[in-house]
Amino acid sequence: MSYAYLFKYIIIGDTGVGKSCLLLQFTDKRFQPVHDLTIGVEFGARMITIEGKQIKLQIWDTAGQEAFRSITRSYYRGAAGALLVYDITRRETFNHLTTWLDDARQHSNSNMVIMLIGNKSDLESRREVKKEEGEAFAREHGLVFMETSAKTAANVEEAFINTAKEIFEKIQEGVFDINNEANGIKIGPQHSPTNPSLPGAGGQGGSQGGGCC
Amino acid sequence: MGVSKLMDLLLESREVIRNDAKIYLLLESLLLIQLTKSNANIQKIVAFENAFDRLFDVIAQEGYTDGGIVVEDCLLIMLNLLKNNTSNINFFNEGSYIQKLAPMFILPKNIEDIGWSPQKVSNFHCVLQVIRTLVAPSNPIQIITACQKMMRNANLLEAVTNILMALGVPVPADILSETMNTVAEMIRGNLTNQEYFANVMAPSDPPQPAIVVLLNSMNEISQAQVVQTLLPTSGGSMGLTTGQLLCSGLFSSDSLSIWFSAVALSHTLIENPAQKEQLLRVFIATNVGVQPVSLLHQCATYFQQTSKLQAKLGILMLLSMWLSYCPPAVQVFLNVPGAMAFLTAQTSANEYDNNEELLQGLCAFIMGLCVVFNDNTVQNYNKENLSQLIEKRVGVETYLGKLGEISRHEVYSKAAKQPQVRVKHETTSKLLLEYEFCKLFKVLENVIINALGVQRELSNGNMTELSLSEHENALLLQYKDVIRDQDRRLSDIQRQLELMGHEKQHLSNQLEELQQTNLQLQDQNTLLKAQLSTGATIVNNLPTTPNKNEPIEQEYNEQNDLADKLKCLEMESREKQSEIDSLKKEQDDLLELLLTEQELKLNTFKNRLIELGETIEDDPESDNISIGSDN
Repeated sequence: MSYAYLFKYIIIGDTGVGKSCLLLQFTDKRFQPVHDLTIGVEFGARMITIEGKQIKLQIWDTAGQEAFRSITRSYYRGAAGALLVYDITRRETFNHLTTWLDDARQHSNSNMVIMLIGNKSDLESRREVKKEEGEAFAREHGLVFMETSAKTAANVEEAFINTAKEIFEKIQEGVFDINNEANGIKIGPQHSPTNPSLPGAGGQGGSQGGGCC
Repeated sequence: MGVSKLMDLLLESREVIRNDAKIYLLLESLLLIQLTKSNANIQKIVAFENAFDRLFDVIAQEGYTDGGIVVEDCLLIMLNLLKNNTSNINFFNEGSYIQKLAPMFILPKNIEDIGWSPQKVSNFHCVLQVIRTLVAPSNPIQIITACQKMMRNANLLEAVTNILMALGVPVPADILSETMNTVAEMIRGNLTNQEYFANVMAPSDPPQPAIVVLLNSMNEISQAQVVQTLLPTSGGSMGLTTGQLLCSGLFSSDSLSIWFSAVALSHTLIENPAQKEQLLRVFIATNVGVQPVSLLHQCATYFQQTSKLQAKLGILMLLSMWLSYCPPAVQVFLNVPGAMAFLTAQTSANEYDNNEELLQGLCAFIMGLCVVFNDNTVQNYNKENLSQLIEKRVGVETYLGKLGEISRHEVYSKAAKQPQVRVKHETTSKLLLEYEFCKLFKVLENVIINALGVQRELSNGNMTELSLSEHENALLLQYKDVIRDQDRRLSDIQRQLELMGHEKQHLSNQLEELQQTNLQLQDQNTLLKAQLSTGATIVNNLPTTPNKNEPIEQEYNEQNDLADKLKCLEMESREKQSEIDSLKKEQDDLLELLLTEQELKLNTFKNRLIELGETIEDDPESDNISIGSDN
């Protein structure tokens, strides 16, 4: 039950791209073909292991509809990672990525790790956005990219875990100030800063200390 | 975004606390309490902004439940954040905040001396409410189960149970009863938690299972208005069972005890026919020297005697649960002297005092149950007799009106809303109906109405036929037969027509299909014909190439080739031969020529020799020698 770190994630993207299904697949390992429209924000959580460390992921799955945009914006600030999702069978969801990215960059802390997800990779016959296009967009904007299927679970684990790895690396590099909870990262109860053997020890100097390792 | 800013403020105002200027925090928490009251989205954002961490920090700083109004405010915000918000409850559970609730239940060692301040009582109430919100029966089942599991693992269940079992420590009565409710919801529908609780022994002497103690104090909750402490003072003998406790509660002098005991007992019968029959075997001795009577009998007698409305309703609800779907119980009940008369009197009464319409409604309901679940074993009160009783004595309209009183009553709608019993101590007398009863009533009300209707139609039908004369009756029967016959024939014909219609439809479908196939085949035929003709011309235009002869021809060709080659070679050899011949001839000629020339020269030389005076023998064989020797 105890964890070394806790990361807060948000999932963003147009309505109907499969955000809630991705979360459900990740937390419950199941797929629900007909999912209710998300109202506001829903919460899910799961424990993962990275480099032998237990990491708790708290995930806030946001509503994609425009009407909820002002609510979802409140969640950018406190998140360490974001999954930006589009639907490979609907080009307009890909076209809206820039808007989402602008929104995220504007309201989040600058270190937030953003993973670009092209979901519904199982629907190859209805594909409208080529994988290369996703890759190009990610390269251009400095994002990590992956195509997933919440239905077949392909790459779903990887999407969440790779994002966590990226955050974990940033912590090791000292980029994140882990003592500031507004960054969406929390140190586990048994890993309090009073324990000198851990990165981030020494309170405020945590980021510097991490830097020299 | 504004909410996020506000949370920042709360964070900053922690500094303010240190400066003893708690007023800021207070103001802000008041604002937050208002904000978080009803808007689920604001609740979620506040939770996302680490509100629970902040709140628990503040609570810890303020000394947990010993803290002042700030703690209460924090707990109220927490309560607002969780109430009816599944996402936040899930977050609360996943975020390991349940563990942080356990320290709230540590009572200071000197609690006996310092007592319970009104603030402490309020704080305690709030914590209990927070727990109840997490495991409220209205939440999704998987959330409840997850929270219950966490509560057990985090020793919160233990901590709360300890409050219940804290012997010798004064705990205010209302806290104690609320703690019981809380424990009840922590173990509701959770086998593991129930097992844990069943094994908890109260620290009394001798030790008693907590459940027994709990029931003991349950009976005394009612007395708590009079008696200050709720602690089990008279635990009774070692062999005290919960059943005994319930029965003694059932016939105590306190109406609330009776009500609770009756409800508790009725809960043991929910959808459990075996238990209903089992309970029929329970006999109790009401007075020394008096023949023991069955529990059901006693119940049926009791509600006739008592004047307390709450107690009456409790017993009647127990009886409703008991009699429903249980004809043996109905049989026993119908044999209780005066019971039916009492019910009839109540149901047919024209006027009533405060809340008595409920009592009358319940009596009507039980009468109805006696009709529906009647196996006709009691002569005087079989199905038909009873419905006649209702119709003649009470009147159908009155009866239905009385039955309808129950669901029309506000007590009913209140009780039907939730399974929990939510009452303040001062208003326990308002406990009249109960959730499970309401459920039962909802299901059976219509069953009763229908049963009565069927019964009435049956008897009405009999009446009209009986009132006719024999001749008329015979005629009627004849007509009836005719009508029945015609009806049967009509339906037969209709069925046939329908069948034929189906068949026709089927056939025309088939025909259409066949026509279509035919057309298709024709088309195909033409197409094939066309193909055939074009094919023929193509075939004609093709050069004859019997490909089967190919290998032979090849051989033939090869042979031809070989013969040609042979001829060629023959010719060559002939040529060569002639060449050789000619060369031989040439050679011969040349030799001859040379010979002739030589002879010529010889002759010349001979002649010269002759000229030179040499004698030459004309011996051709020794020409040369002679010449030589001659020289």
